[in-house]
Amino acid sequence: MIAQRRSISNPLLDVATDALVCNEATLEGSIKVGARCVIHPKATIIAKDGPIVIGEGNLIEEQTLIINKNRPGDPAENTPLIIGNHNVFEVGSEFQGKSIGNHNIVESKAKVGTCTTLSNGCVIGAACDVNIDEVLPENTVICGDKYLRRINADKPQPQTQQIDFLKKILPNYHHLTTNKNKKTSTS
Amino acid sequence: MATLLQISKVKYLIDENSDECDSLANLYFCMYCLSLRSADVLQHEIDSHFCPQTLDSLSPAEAPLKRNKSANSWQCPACLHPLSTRATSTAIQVTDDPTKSTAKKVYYQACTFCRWSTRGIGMPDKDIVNGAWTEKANPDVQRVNQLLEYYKYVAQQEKLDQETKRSSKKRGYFAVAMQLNKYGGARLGIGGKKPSPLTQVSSKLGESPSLKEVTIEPAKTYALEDLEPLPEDIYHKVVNFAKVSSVTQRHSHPEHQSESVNDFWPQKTRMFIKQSLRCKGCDHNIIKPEYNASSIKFKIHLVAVNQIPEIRINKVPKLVPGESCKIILTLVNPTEHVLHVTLLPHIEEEKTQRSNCQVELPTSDLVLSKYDEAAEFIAPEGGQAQFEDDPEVIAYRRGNRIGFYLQCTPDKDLQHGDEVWVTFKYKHEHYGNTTIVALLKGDKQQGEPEADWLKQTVFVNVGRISSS
Ligand SMILES: [Zn+2]
Ligand SMILES: [Zn+2]
Repeated sequence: MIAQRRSISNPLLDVATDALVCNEATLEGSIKVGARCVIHPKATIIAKDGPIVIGEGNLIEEQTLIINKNRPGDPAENTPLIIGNHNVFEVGSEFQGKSIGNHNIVESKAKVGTCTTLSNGCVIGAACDVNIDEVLPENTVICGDKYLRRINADKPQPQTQQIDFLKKILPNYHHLTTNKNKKTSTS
Repeated sequence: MATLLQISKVKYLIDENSDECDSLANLYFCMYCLSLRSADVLQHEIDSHFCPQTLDSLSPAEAPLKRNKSANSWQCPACLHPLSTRATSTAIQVTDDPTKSTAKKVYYQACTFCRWSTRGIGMPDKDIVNGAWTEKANPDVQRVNQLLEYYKYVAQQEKLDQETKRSSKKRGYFAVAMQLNKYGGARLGIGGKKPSPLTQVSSKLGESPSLKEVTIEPAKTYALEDLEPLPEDIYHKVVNFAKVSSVTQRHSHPEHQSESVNDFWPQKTRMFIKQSLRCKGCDHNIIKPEYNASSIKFKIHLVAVNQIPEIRINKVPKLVPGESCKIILTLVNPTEHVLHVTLLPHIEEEKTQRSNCQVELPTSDLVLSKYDEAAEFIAPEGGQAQFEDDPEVIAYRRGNRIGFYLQCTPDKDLQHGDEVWVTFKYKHEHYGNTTIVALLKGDKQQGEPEADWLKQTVFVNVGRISSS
């Protein structure tokens, strides 16, 4: 079996002090994790075609795949993927775009391809696969098997309570990756 | 489930005359008429209406009064998912002291699927959980009521006309009663118990025959020229799909059909019905669910798969035109009696011929042991020995099922890819109805139940010709 690539051994990883990154998550390449982020075990974040900067209060759940990937045909520039604040990537979601704003939700098994950019407050519904060359307007909701779109009046609420809860409960069952990569807390 | 996968492969003849056939899984069995019934020939009756969310039941008489809508369950106007009530607290100022404010719980409704919420359309939050929500008023409610009133008037008028016509012909009030039935009997009765024509007449006689005339204005019509022309940019303007409602969304709100998503309004959940089926031949119930909406049980559940031994396809070798081959069919006994099954040839009329395969049927009886719910938990040994199976006929025996060989020769003129249909009849015992019918009738018959012999005709699609 191939040795498990764990976030622990990544020297380019920068985790904010009050962020919570589980050891079983895979974080490859130059990644900066902002304050109050929670990255669940078995999430995969790969800085393939440039670094990834994750803002504050993001919740990245199990089996999520986030890749900084150039569009097919684009020059291989080393542009960063910047993830804003208070985004939620639900279980099994996939994000391959180049930019995502604040307060977005990518629901379970949803996929955002390299061409689509999420602005703020967008919701990609469960199992929706979007990859059209566009910037989704603010508060766009895409959901259902017919990909019905709607502009919501409000952006989704930030998941502060859930993040606080996870920050309490996750350390009880998982090893965590801290900033100074060699140390792992087991509390 | 082989039955599910082979749903179009093994078909049972329902009606000799119409040559109608269907899979056993789609059929019902009337144990009074002792014959298969398809859903089309049964009488469908509404048992009760219920809300799929709150599981409140209503009788068929009450439901139309509530417009078939649930009392306090709401659905999302955007995706028809049930809405859930969310509680949140807001700060309100204390009237005496403007510097102080207290937290107050308020409620709004939100869809967990598409994140639509009553706040999004500017609906004010409510102070109580239930009861404060209202539907958007139907803009045409007055017109609808007028039309309803007018229809009642017309119906009454017609009735009176018929009455006078009939009585002049001196045909007695029974004819009148029949006419009354025309309007009164449109409602589906439960149990077929309509009030007798006589009582209907006597109740109607109390009313005064003079009618108050109702007049109605016909709806306005427009000539094509009167219509406003389409805006010029109609074909060029880019439609913002995020702001326009879809056809499904409009149809789910027939009275409003709002074009803009901003005009969406929560709607009450529509009621579902529990349905019972009745045999038109003998008026007995075939399917009767429990009244309670939360129960998934049936009082009467006469589906064919529980009564009739079922044929399934087990193994089919390569089918070559004109060449004999051995196919294995499975016979399953769903009943709690040992069944004897005799296979019989089926002679088809030229017109309706379905089979294109000569078939040699085993001549001996096939004996099926009974269905035993505990069979899978106890060792299969022992049960096998009591049957002396001819290995030429029986391929295998496992619990309540056997596999038997069928010698088939597909017709010579079949082409590659053609479907091969085998047709035969089988005769089997049918127990159960005597004892159950006796029980239902209240007789206390003792002793061995008597068996009826039933005959089924099956058409089996055994596969396609694989080479020419
Ligand atoms: Zn919805
Ligand atoms: Zn019947």
